[in-house]
Amino acid sequence: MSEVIVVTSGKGGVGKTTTSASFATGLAQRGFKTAVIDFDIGLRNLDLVMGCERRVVYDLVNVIQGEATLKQALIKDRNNENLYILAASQTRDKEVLTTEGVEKVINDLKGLGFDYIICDSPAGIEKGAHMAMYFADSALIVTNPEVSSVRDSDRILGLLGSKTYRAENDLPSIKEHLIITRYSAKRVNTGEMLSVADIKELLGVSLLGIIPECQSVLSASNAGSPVIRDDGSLAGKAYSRIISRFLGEEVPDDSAKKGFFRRLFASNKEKELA
Amino acid sequence: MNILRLLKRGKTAKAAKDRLQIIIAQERSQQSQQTDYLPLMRQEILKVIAKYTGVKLQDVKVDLQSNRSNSVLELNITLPENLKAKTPAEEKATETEEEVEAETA
Ligand SMILES: Nc1ncnc2c1ncn2[C@@H]1O[C@H](COP(=O)(O)OP(=O)(O)OP(=O)(O)O)[C@@H](O)[C@H]1O
Ligand SMILES: [Mg+2]
Repeated sequence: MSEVIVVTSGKGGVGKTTTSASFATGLAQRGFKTAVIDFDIGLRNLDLVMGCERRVVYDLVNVIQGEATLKQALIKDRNNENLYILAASQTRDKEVLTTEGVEKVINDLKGLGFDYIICDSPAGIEKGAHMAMYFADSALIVTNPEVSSVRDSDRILGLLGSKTYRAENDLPSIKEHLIITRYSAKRVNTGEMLSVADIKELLGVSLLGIIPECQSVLSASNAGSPVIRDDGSLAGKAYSRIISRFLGEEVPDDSAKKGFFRRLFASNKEKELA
Repeated sequence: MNILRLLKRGKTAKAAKDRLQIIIAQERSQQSQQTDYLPLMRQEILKVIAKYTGVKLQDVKVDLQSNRSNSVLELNITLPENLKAKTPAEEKATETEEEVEAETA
């Protein structure tokens, strides 16, 4: 059985592509055959974050328009044989995405034996975002602790519940998981930033995990290697915990605060190292 | 000097939450209002159609598509082949399929 998972947010720049890349890589690391599709037609980025930009020959639009086969367009990851990337077109208009075309690509991927199909949604609520979510079984709602991001996430939740294949055909609804990214515990503690509890309460969606604001995300993008591969980084560890939770394993809370003395100790140790 | 700034700063997350609570509730209710009247309206339209043609509930497809500024309501009614018009006005309906489009603000 394959599962289609959309990574969506409404608002731009909150970490959808970062999350798609690490989530897909994490599932592949656990042995699942995983495909990750970039739906951001005209503004493709997933190939860069995954480090395969120079190997893109054909893309999603070529497949939908019959200019290439799915097998020709799928790019096999260099580090993991379970992981494949389907790039977005950099030159076309997003209007070329059709429901029938996207449905065929997803069904063909299922036919090829993929366990997970991750759809990286573009920002906004237009065609690209609509197509990315339409055939989803689960959704990762990526939210930043910030007013406009939370509001847009709520809007997206409304669309997931009404403008998708499952909703339109009275099937069991899409499973929704909240992922809070670019979180700064320090700024929450000073009251500058919405807390995890606030966001959970406002959106009413169960929390899959919290990704801290982390310098390693930028270095990972620079290197073209999803941050989950950087297992020494805070963001990498947080994405790994998200994978475990998604697969139903028990893992400690992301927000579990260190005790005062441990924090003191840690910061002293950091000072020593510096 | 810092105490005042700290106090002020401490309030912004709370303000964000309060504002979001209001706007989200408002938007959610707008969204449901938009579609809540659909079943009822469908029933009423059907009554009228049934009165003249005898078309059944399951033969009528109602679809509402919305974007930011307007909504398009699409009614798809398959009329029976050998439809006998009951009123002179109905004699115009010769096609087997008719599409009625109504725009709501
Ligand atoms: N946890 C994090 N810590 C620090 N920086 C981050 C984090 N997550 C994402 N970023 C940075 O934020 C920027 C936007 O991230 P990303 O491209 O993943 O967002 P997106 O939601 O896919 O954007 P778009 O809506 O344009 O597709 C990038 O520069 C990325 O490196
Ligand atoms: Mg993106």
